[in-house]
Amino acid sequence: MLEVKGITVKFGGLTAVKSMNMTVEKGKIHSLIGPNGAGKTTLFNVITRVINPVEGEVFYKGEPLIKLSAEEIISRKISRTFQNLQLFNGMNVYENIYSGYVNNYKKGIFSVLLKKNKNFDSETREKILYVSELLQIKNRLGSYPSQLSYGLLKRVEIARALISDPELLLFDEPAAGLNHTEKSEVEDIFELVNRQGKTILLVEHDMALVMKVSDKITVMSFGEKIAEGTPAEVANDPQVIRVYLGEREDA
Amino acid sequence: MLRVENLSVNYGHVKAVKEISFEIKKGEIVSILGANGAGKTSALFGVSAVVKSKGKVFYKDKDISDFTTYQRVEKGIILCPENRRVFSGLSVEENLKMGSYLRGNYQKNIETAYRMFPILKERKKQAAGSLSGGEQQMLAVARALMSDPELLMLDEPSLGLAPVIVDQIFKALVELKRSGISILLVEQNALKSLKISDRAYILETGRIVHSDDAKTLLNDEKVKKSYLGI
Repeated sequence: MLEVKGITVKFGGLTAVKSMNMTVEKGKIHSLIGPNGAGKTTLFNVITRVINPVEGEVFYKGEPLIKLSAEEIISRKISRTFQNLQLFNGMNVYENIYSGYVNNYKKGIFSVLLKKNKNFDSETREKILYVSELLQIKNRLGSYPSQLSYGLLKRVEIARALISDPELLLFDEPAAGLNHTEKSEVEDIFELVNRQGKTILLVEHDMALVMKVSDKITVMSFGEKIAEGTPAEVANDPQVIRVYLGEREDA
Repeated sequence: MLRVENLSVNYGHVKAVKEISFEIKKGEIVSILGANGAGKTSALFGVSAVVKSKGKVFYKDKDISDFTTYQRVEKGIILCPENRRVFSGLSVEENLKMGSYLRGNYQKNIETAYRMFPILKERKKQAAGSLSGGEQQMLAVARALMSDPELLMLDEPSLGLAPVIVDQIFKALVELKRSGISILLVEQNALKSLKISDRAYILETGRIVHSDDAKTLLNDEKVKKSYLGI
């Protein structure tokens, strides 16, 4: 589904990602883990075309992505969430979810930001209601981000990523800052989304969650892949334990 | 060390914290647990005077309720805020320097900070905004320690950090406690924080609904089920 081939990213003199290779298979939950600063978010930014690599290519269903713009990526049915919430504070939940709708990009994103399309067609409205029900935020559609707890805001962000009916979803630390109840809800959302045949690429530090939901895990350190395999293989890899997991006394 | 009486924090007509009272003794680690939106961050903001609050705050038996944020920092009451809040245009080193602006020995503390987080030393000339999310979190914790806190308040210090770094931070907190620093800790990782805490308060919709020794809470079936997920 998604193939990362020989990607290298440099920020000035710093090499953030070095000749990275990775294959994400259709319908799987694939996790990307590694120490802070390993290059995980940078790789996400390459895939979603926020930054340019100096070398390498990303193929999605065989199509090279590097020449595409971020808007074109969304129309290829790839969506993402961000590490720090990136919601529009001046918009309510309904409008925030709508801002992720792919058809918007045909109309131009500015008409959305300026709230020029107040009269949503029934199909759009149904989609928004469907994802908000899926994420159990239907009763908060009129609320503004400042009125919602962190756990709910995370759901709004996931809803916005889902509204365009993506086939590949990239989640950047979706469980960070959530308590265990909310984490298990995120886990349920993943499984639900995955059951619909969607592919998930996940960056996350909560190992209980990663180990539970992942089909495959890739481990990065200092921009390079240091291990890859099933959760059990990765959890017992001495190098991964040394640089990332540490000796676990608890889950 | 710190005694808070009937602290309330309101945002417009939203009552985030409703007349809560709690205390931290010298050398104690005290946790505040509770769901997102329970008022934990607002309680810390009240103690730091980052937001307006009602009620009394006593520090070493002196009423500091009228003190501004920087006056409280001068007294050694330091907050390490949630979501990093580093100065993104300043370098790592400049951020750390800011931490020791009002108090703390820069030369001595910067060595400790770099020993604790070696990656920050490697990145010392880099703009803080160019660090990865987790590195910014390390910087926020290091910056708080630069001011030689007497009472250190940490709002989710482990957020977004690799497991091995989370372990380091929790070990560091235990060492700080041993050196006599009092710690007020807000963490989503309730199990880990209770393990190093002496006592804990549980907040629900702005009110303290339960408080006890950390050991007792760790064995409390209801607490286990609703807050620890075990």
